[in-house]
Amino acid sequence: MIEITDLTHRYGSLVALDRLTLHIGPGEVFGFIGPNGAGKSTAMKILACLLRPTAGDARVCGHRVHDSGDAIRGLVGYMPDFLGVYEDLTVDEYLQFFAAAFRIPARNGKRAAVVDSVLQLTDLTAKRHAMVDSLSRGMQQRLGVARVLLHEPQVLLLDEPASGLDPRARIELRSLLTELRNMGKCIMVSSHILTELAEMSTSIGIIERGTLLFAGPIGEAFARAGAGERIAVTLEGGPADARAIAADLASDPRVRSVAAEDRSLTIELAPAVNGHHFLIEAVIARGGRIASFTPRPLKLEEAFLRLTRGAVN
Amino acid sequence: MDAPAAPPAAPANPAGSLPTAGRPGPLAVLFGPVFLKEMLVLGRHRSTYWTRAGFVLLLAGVAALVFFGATADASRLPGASALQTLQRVAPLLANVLGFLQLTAITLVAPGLASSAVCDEKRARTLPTLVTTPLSALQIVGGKLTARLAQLMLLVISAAPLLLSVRVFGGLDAEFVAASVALTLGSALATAALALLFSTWHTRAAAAAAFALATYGLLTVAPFFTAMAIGQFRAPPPWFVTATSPFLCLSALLGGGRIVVAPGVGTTQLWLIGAAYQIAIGIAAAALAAASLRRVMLREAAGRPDPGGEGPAPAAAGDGTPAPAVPATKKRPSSRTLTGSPVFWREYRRPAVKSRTARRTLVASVLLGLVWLYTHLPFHSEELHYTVALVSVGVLALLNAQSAPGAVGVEREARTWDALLTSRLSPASILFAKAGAAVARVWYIPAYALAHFGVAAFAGFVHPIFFLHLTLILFACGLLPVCTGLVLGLAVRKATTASSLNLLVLVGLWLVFPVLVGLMGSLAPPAGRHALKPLADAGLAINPFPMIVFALGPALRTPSLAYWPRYEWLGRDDLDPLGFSVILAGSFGALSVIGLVALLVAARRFNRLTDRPS
Repeated sequence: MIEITDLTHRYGSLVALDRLTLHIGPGEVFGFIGPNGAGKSTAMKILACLLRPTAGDARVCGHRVHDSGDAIRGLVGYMPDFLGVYEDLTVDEYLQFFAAAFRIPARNGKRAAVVDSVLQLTDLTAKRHAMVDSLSRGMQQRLGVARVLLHEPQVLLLDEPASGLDPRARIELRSLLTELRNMGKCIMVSSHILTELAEMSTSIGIIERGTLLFAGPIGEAFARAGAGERIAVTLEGGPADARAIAADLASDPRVRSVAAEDRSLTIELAPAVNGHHFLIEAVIARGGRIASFTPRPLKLEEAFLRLTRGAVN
Repeated sequence: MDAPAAPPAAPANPAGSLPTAGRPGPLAVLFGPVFLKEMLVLGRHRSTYWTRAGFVLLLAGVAALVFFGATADASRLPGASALQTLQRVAPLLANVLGFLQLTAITLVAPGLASSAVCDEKRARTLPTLVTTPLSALQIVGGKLTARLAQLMLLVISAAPLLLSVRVFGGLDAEFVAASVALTLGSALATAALALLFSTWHTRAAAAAAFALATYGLLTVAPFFTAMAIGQFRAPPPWFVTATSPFLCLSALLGGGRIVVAPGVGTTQLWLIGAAYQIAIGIAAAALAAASLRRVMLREAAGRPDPGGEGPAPAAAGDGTPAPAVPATKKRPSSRTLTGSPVFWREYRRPAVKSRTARRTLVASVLLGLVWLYTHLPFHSEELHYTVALVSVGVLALLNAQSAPGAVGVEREARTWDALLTSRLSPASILFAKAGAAVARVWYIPAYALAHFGVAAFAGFVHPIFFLHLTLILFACGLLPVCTGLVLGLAVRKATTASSLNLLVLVGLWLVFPVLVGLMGSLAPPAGRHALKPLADAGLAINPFPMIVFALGPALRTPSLAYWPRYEWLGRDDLDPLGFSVILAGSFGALSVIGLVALLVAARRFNRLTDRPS
């Protein structure tokens, strides 16, 4: 659905996007990760036909952004990172405005029905006659989602949709996105909250200083980052035992790193090492008595930190 | 030895008061950290340099036009006559530059200062300023001084042009001094007014518009009021003349030593005029400081935050209840959108958001009208001239100011991107905005046409003026809207686009005819002949003289039994059909120029907005 090839964009001398190449298929939720100023919003704006790329090619559902703006606008729902709202309209009027702008006819109550359905989907029916400028940030974000759903787009480009939302609203947004994914929509979403992206994305892209460092399934990101599984072990003995066991484990090729603190060990396995039994055996063989043994799931933050250098444009 | 006693801890700032660090001196007020920060920020804006370059180019261009127009045939004249021509150019150039500088600075200053507090509100930096020891006066003083410094740089950048005039002969030093003093006074007054309105408004464009309107009331309205009281037959008292810097400067053109009133010469007049401007500036700045203090306290206490999800402000430690965060504003029902969405929304966009301000404005206009109709009899020519000229002027000014905001305000509110991702075509966006901008001010043409409809029915004005006024009103309403939208697309800031749009109108209807007239008065017969088509065209597209040309005969021949005869270009017997064709041609051409500009902008929309397609 989204095909980006060697896409480059420059703001003067600043290279915001550097030969970005990316393919996102239908039903895919693509999490776009990167530090501030990495080029996420620039890429989304180009796909939404809001920004002319300096070089390269970008296509949405086969339509080139260079020459098929009108067709793409009918297929894409773009929600910017900051949602500006018209001050003097109610929620209903605001949605009617954009429904008309997307050429949804008012005949036979079709426009009203569409507005009703998105209000229900985003749980804004109770705020129907509220002035949009008096809505809270979370409600405005919901309204933004409602707006992009009006014309039933095939592709959703959501730039930081969860920013400023309270925990409940975030959970609701996540379930809404899952619902939309199940409807077969292709969703590109950027966020700084990586745990959320990990939960809702089927694949991710990590971008830094305009360069795509990784794109693919999350599991592949961990492998690329060289991040292995982590296990926390608490011993019944004293800190000296823990330090001795840590020193022995460090020489095992299946162990990437060991950190000992008080009676606890934090062990990171080498990439692609599965199974923990050898650890238990090794600790017991060295006279250690295990109080607790807790495998820690891999975190997207770790892969992100390893793949990026923290550089910003 | 005992250690010195620790100084007593500074008392905590009581809730709801601004922190203070003693009374700052005048230098700290004017050139404190706010001044330095503003200078840094303004220095980084590319628009600052564009404005300077544009200002100098404008003055240089006008000076070159005047010079070459006035000396076109000097080389063919005998030596003494050529020298005489060149000597006459010097004061003319100085006069033109003086007036132009005054006009330009008066228009630029509100645009420059109107964003001073609006930007802080939008960036939500006012609560941060509250936590510093800066007083509201220091903030206003610093912001105002930084902008005045920019304006002074503009005035100084024009100095070499004025000095170069000396090469051609004598230059009236008093005129130069008066011009600079009045220009700087006007800059202070308009900038301070813009800063004042900036504390009251969230949109810079609205603040600039209100500043200009208030300045107009303070400097133009007294003169017209006095003229109306004297039924336009007696000159107004000298102190009324002193309220307008333009009138003060004009008085100097009359030879320099006109006695305005017993004991009051032109020197006293412009000195008092400059002092009046400075007084307006100081009063507005003081009021701005007082207002800013309240605004900052309100923001710091947690103003209604439509954009924030954060928790409600906590109660103060001393048990003072937290300020209540108002609930979501609701309407009992929503309106149903019909027709073009952009037109629908744009037509309903309130020109003045505050209900109180709107009511005050309407009440003031109504009071003004009541005053006008009770002071001037309905059969008086002065009443009809005033109604026609003021209606056209206000319509053009309102549209010139508000049309660029139709795009600029969307950009500033960040709704523009959402609109551009919709399936609306560029032409449908622009023409709907243009249509709505014209339709929104329906009440001005409606009032003017109703006035003349009644006047025609009562037999005071020939009904054909109804047609002539319609033609003029239509063009004067449409042209500034079209140029404003084009400028709004091309220029990022709404206030800059509004100022430029006003400059376009001032250039077309004031600077251009004055220039051509001055060049014509100086040029030898051959040059004058060459300038005539230009002067005629300038006259034909200028609504103000054309209203006079159209209304005069209509008032003199009000009866339907006769057709008025019109004066036009030396003829005094032009029939109504011929005059109507001239009006329709010239004002139709203005409308077509506006629409073509809008069409070109629609075609180049993607390039102007950086959209790929």
